[in-house]
Amino acid sequence: MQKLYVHPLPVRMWHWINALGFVVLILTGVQLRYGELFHALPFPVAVRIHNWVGFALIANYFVWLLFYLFSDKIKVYHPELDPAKHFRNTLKQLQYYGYGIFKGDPNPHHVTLYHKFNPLQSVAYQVIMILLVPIQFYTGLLLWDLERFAGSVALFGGVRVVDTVHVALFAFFTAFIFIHPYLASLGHTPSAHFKAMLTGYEELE
Amino acid sequence: MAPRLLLAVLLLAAAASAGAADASAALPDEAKACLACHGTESAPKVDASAFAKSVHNPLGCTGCHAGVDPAKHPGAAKPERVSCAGCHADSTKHYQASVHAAQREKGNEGAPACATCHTPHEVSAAAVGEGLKDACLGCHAAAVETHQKWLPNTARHLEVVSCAACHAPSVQRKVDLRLHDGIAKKRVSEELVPGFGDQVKKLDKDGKGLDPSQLRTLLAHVEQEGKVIQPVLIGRIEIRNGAESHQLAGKASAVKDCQRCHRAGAEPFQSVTLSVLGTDGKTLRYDAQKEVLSSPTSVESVRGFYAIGGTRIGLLDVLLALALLAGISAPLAHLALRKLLRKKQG
Repeated sequence: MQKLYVHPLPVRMWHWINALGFVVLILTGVQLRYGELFHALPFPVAVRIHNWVGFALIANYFVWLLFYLFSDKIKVYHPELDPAKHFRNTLKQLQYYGYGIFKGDPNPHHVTLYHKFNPLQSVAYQVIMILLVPIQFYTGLLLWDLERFAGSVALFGGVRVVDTVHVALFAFFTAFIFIHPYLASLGHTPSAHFKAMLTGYEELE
Repeated sequence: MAPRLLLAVLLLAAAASAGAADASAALPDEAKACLACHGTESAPKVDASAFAKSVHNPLGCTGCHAGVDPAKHPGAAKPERVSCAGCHADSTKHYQASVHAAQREKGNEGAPACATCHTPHEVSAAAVGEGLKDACLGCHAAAVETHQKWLPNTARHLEVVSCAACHAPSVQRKVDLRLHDGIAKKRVSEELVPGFGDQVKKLDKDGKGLDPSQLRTLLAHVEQEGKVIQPVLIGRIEIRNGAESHQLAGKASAVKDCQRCHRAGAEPFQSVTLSVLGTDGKTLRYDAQKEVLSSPTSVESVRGFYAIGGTRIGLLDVLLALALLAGISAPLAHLALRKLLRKKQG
């Protein structure tokens, strides 16, 4: 089977550190918010882990950002500039996940070196990486030290607004952490995309 | 005749004292006479302007120094120590049960009595509070550093939790939502919000305390009045009964369990007041319902106070539960459909 090197090492490292970090942030986040229901660690320890993992992921985000900014691989994130074509392809992909896959139809998206994302992934990952993840990091940073960032907190609308945004995104990422691996299991074999994210090589059907 | 003459001389001297002139305008005549000497370095000094602003100002000097006869003062005998218990019996009772009183009983003269924390001639309304935190830190200089070793977000905690809220562990707490001017960054006094109390009474018709919607209406009213451009409620965890805040325990007994606050239904969030500063410096408090701390309607009005876990918004819990449900059930349902339909297709 033909293989294509689509996940360079910095991207794979970023991905798995991010994945592990998000799981830790979700678990400690659940304890901080629902301490009366889920209490695995002393509260200050959970806070400190949440803070340090948060900082580690902010640094890790820059690994992702700088790699793509200074490499031609950024093309994988280039949006499709023809809206009609993008809409058509998105519809095809939705149709596949919602209907075709049940009949055993082939995936309409074919991975190439600079098109590793299907149209749905392309839009979703751009929104997540350029908007949602930075907002989550920023609100987390403000909550880390409310006194130091008092001015920014006030500008944001107060600590309650900052926390509401942080928790709403926490809800989104909690759903994501379940749905993402499931979608990753929809390759030509259930483990194909997982292996690819470990080795860097995507097997072409 | 001689005592009267002495008093007249003292009054003249008081009038001539330029430094004390402005500040003493608000003082009783008797106090002005005393300050002719005690406003200078020639006798134990009292800051006239601070005393003029003090809540004890209307009492004059002999209101507390009852054993002093101005006509015979200064005499040979040293004036008796002032007792606060006559007026502040409840606070004194709780103080007697404190670690501070216990230390004094053991002979530790450095342990605080009333005047050590409540600087005797500058007593402001206790609930104004910022000065009291400084009084604690005045002796417990290492306290900030000690807290930093274990307490996350230490600066924020020291700002919004009164010392007694953790160091008087057996008493009940509450949240006082203080009206601040977000631009001037200071507490709002009643002068800037005329009719504030009437507006609260008008909104809180049933007397149960302001609900989230009424609180929002109140703040909109304050904003419309225009004297406070950006009204912000900044919460502070305090002792429900101010007198009980004197019942400070040894540090080994202090609250260190974060979940005393950071959990749903935590005791400090069961009682809420709203406050502005009165024209006399005293705090004017109005009741609010505990729901103002956790309602989505309060995101804007109570934007300056939030305790993780303790004052969480229920609607966000629903959102999180739905996200979790969708995250688990959507893949499971999709997987089940795939298996089922593939089987049918043989």
